[in-house]
Parts: sequence; C-alpha cells; structure tokens
Amino acid sequence: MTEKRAEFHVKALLIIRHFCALEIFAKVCIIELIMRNMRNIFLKMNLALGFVLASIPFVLYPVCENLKPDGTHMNCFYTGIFVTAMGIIVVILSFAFAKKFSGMAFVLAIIAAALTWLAPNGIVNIAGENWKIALCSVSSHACVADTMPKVALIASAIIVSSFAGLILALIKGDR
Amino acid sequence: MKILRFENITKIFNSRSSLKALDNITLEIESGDFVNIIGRSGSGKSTLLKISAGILTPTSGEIELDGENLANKSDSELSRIRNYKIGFIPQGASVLPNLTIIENVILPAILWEHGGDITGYAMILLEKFGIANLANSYPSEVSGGELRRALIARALINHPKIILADEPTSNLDSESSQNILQIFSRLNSQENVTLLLVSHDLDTLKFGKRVFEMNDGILTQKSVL
Amino acid sequence: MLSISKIAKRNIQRKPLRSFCLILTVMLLSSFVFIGSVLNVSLSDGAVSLANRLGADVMIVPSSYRFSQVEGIILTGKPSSFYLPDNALEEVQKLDLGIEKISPQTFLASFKMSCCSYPVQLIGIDYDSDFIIKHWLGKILSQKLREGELIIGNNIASDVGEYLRFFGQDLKVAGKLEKTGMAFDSSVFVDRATIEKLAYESERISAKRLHDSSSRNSVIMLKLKSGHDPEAAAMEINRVLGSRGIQAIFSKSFVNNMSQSLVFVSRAITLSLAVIWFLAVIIIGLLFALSISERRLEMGTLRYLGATRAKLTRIMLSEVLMISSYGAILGIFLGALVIPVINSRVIEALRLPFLLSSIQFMISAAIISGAFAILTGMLAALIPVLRAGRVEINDMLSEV
Repeated sequence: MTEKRAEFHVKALLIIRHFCALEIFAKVCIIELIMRNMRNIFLKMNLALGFVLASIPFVLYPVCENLKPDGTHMNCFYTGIFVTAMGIIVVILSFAFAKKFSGMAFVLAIIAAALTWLAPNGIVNIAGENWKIALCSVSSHACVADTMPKVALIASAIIVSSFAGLILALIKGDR
Repeated sequence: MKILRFENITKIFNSRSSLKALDNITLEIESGDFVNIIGRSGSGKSTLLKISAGILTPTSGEIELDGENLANKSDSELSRIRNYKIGFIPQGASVLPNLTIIENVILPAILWEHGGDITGYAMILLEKFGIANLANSYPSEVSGGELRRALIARALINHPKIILADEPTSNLDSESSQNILQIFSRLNSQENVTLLLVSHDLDTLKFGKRVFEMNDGILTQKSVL
Repeated sequence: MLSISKIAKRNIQRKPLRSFCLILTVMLLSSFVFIGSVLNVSLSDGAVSLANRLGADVMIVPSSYRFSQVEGIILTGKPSSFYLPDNALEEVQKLDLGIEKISPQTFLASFKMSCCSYPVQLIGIDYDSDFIIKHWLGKILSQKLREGELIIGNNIASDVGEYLRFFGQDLKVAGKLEKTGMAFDSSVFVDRATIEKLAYESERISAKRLHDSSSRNSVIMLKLKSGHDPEAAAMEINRVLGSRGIQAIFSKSFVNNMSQSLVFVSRAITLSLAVIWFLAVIIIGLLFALSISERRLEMGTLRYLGATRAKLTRIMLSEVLMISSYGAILGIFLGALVIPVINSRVIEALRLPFLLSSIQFMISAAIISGAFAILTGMLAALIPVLRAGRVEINDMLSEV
C-alpha cells in the first residue's frame, strides 16, 4: 500500500514537473499575444508575477522532495502544489478578466496571493486526510530557507500590484 | 408679453479703478423677439448678458425676467430662475469634458426636477441640429461648430423663456458661423424662441429683429429689421 | 441616466493619477487605523488576560534564569528544558508563607524529530493540584488527565481525539485550551507520569541527561491565601532558599514590567496613527484644493446652468465621499490581510502577550476605521469645497 502511494506521488511529481516545463513553453509563446490584448498594466504585471509564483516551488526554488520514512510526502510538497495552483489561478484570472470586471480579477488575485503565505504558516488551515499545507519546522530546509521567502516576495508583489489595479479599476470602471 | 426688462441699469466695477461697464441702460424684450447687440470687445455687452442671466448684479437700476424682479433674490431662487427660464450660451466651450455630448445636453434638466423624457427630448434637439450621431462622443472628440450646436441644444433643454448667447460665433470658421446663426434664426422664426445675442461679429447684423450697438456701456438702437 | 453621483464619478475618472493618490491615501489611513486599533486592543487584552488568569501569585524558577528569560519563556518563549534543584517543592512547602495552592510544572522541549513535526514546549502538570491550566480548558474527554493523554494549546493544529507523537510515543489529545495569548498557546500539557516517561525517552534518544539532579520540577506555582503579600512571600523564599539555586518571582512583576512595554507600544501606535492622520488630511486637502482650482470653469458652468451653491457643494462632496469610500473599503481589506500576519509575528517581535480580538470586535473596528477614514477624507476636503462654493459665478467664468 505504502509502495503504491509512493509510486503515485512520484508520478504526481513528474506530472507537475512536466506541467511546469510545458507551462514555461506555453507562456513564452502566448504571453506576448495575451499582453497585447491587455490594456491594464497591472493585469500584465499579475500575469507575469503569477507565472513566476507558479514556477517557484518546483522549478525556480524547489521545495524539499524527500519522502518521509512511511513513503508519503512531507507537508512542504503539498505546499508546493498549493503555491503552484495559486500562481496558475493568478495567471488565469489575469486574462480571464482582461476585458471586463478586472476589479474582480484583482480581488481574487489578492486572496490567492495572500493564501500562499497564510496557509503554509498555519494561519489558514488547509488540510485533508494524510496531507496538510504547512512548512517544515527545520529552518534550514529548502521550503523554509529558499522557497517561502521567494513565495512571500512574489505574493507581496502580486498583492501590491492587485491593490493598485483595484484602485484603478474603481476609478475607471471598465472604460 | 415682456420677457426681459432693464430699467436704468448701471454697472460699475470697483476692482482697481472704478469702471462704468454699463451706463443707464433701459431695454425691453418681448416674447418672440430676436435682439442682437453688437460692439467691440470691452464695450460692456457681455456684462449686460451676465446681468440678464443673474450672474452679475447691477450697481443700480431694475431688471425683471418674466415678471420677476431679479434684485434681492436668494442664491436658490436665482439658480431656479437660471435653470427654468434662461438658456445661457456662454463664450467658448463651456462644457463638462467628462460627460458625453448628450449628457452635457441633459445636464440642466437634472440639476432641478424636470419631468418627462429628458433623454428623448435631448435626442430630438441633437437630431434637429444635425449632431445626433455625436450623442455619445466626448466634447474633445467633436469640432468647435458641433460643440456650439450642442450648447444651443443644452440651452433649449428646459424650454426656457429666453436664450442668452454670448459671442456664439467666436473662434468658428465662416461656414460654421453661418450655420449657427441660421439655427438661431430658425428657432426664432419657426418656434418663436426669444433670443438676446451679443457679438462683435458684424456678420450677425444680418440676423435678429432688432440690432443695438454697445459703446462704452451705452446702448443705442441701430435698426429694426 | 445622468445623476449627481454619475457626475462625481466622471470627475474622479478625469484625473486617474490624482484620484489614485487620493484613494491610496485614504486606503492607507483606513488600514492603519484598523490594524492599529486591533493591535492595541489585542495587546491590552493579552495583558489583562495574563494578569487575571495567570493564576499564580508567586512563581519559583531556577536562580540561574534571569527574569527576562523566565518572562520570555512564560509569555512567548521558545521550547526549553530547565529544572529546579532536588527537593525544592518540599522545602518551599515547609515555609510559612500562607500557601493556599501549590503546583509544580515540568518543562521539556520536544525534539525536531523529523521535517514536519512540531517543535513545542511539553509541560508536565500535576493535574490534581493544578490551578493554572484547568482555567483555560475548553473541553476535555475525561474528568482527569490520564497517562498517555495530553492537553494542547490553542495554536497546536490538532483536535480532541487525535494522536500526536512525541519522542516516539503516540499521545491522545484529551483537551484543548482556550486562546491565552501566552506561550501556553503553543505548549502541550501531560500528566506527571507521562512527562517522566517522555523525559526518559528524551534522555535515551539524545543519550544525554537533562539535569544532574533527580528533580523533574521546572517551575513551582504558588497561590497564597488572601491577606498574604506575594512580594513578601517571594522575598522570604529568596532569603531562605536563594542559596539553593531557587528564585521566586511574584507574578505581578510580570504584569508591571509588561505594562510599561505595553504603554510604550500603545503610545507608538497612537502616535503613528496621529501622524498618518495628519498627513492624510494635508494630502487630501491639498490634492482636492488643486483639483477644484483646475475645475473653476466647470463649476461656473454648473452654476449658470442652475446649480445652487448647495448643489455644487453636494457634487464635490459626493466625489470626496466616493473616493473616501473606495479607500476605506480597500483599507479594511488590506487590514484584514495584514492582521493575521501581525498576529503570528507580533508575539516574536514585541515579546508581549497578544490575544487577538474577537471577530465581533474586529468587525466593529473595521466599520469604525472605515467610517473614520471617510470622515477624515470629507473633513480634509471640506474647506476647499466650501471655499469653492462661495466663489461668484462670474469669477468662475473669468476664463471664458
């Protein structure tokens, strides 16, 4: 059972890695195309920052990928998936609301970015059976030392950019 | 029926040195009249128009608009009179740049409670002046002549007793000027709109039932057409 | 359909950068007021809670620990293991201090066993004599804390009925404490027998003795009968047992010391708020005055079209209201994001007990902060708006 689970997790990791590689390729190809259709500079910034955020946990500053003695992944692995998912959400929001309701895109981007800090630090509890969004307790571990500081930095940048975009959206409406 | 009556109106500006802008002016304008006052710049004609609109108060003399004496009126009463009874077209492009042409036209109608289909009437006016296609454009997107026509539509939106127009053809090319003056002429002849127009443009002499000349604050009648 | 509020909205759109600065100013003001008020009240609640519910009049700790170290351990401290000399409990009991209740506690820091285990303070309590922890107990499975069971602090991410593993032992969560605002929030409590077992395991795993003596008592909590002075009792203990490596601290000294820090922090927050408020008033007032002076002709237009002074003032105030409301709402949103971060970081940074206010208080604080920011915006713009309303129409049209 444990072996099967470990096998599943290894496959999941491979899929995530492939996705990240594909994501980079796809983004490089279409980013310019999308941005040309986006008048709002803050949506453009969110698009780029969301892409960076999604790439941090498994590409730029990977979380620790060692398995626990029981063959399951450590919490930081799930945190990595969560951060990647939030990054993708920010990216999707950026072009899904490019034409209308950009204010909504910014509010949701702020929430997604904030969750990448709040959930791993245990302020918002996101957990399921045998998994939990959390960080390693050892400060020298990759997720604490490398990944999270960068995630916090990019998430803060998304929050700042989204607040600026939100103010502009309130001023201009969808004009 | 008398719409506007000036009696011995004198206006002295006391800013730096005492300047007599209007000197003992007496004038009566009947309903359906078209009065044209010409004069060079600084002769006092704009002052006369502003006094007619209750924007300035005379130093002495009496002014009556549609039977109401404008002296000693409160700000609210004067504002109501300006809104209901006067269609004022000032010199230049006096519009709210962030409102569309149609919004600028209906602006006077929302400042006080006016019933009816305001937007519909505004569209009728814009169509009448040939700028219905510009209803949703912003003032910066239209020409000077088109904007001036929009100002005339705005002046008419509340069915005023009198239209006061200050240099309505200034800064316009001759074709646009003629177009504007013809609109005034048509409004007066076909719809019996009362008009008081001041200008330094001699082309306006061809229009109007009565023409006056303003010279150093003194008003003299030139002709009756 | 055109309306007064639509005109105001269009005026805001006209100068996006200026409107942006105005909204940003109100937003920062609103968020600072919100965060500042929650911070102030949470710190004050933490102090009151500590004073009211610490429970012990006198705490006895090893004399090798400085006051600030003990304070740090009790309020915010990192997991630590320290022990009193042998027979300390018995010797204190022998003294005529007017003791009503006495209860020892054993401190044991958990190991960072694996990547994601919790580094927590394990505290062994004598459940029968305890008069501290029971106060904070929200719910418990059984009447008594049994061997192999534990009570967890409020910050421990687990719940009653679950199992936590320490030093290779699976312990069942029998109860969870209410939020205390002190180090208790991230501590785990077990009975005497269990802590002995865990200490043994700790020594076995680390192959190192925790302490030279056989004592397993780290702190002794004393509650005195009414009429007995805690300070005098602490002095008596220090006089008699000071040479034995024991020191007594009367609890009020914690609160006194903390109060000074609290007053300082509170004053700093209030002063910052005052400075931010003053700056906001200046910025909003100046930007609005500038905006109004640029729009003299438009205001003149509105006036000759029939707008009264009052209506003109209303249009301008609607604009300020709109800008201030946007800023206030965004500020509260920002505050709501920042407060949880502060909650987790302030304890470390300030070393003060922090009891995050109730959700009801936070909602009230958010509403009041928003209203305050809106009022500030309105107040700051009031002078230029009223002055503009007084200008004669002819002067407004002077550019015509």
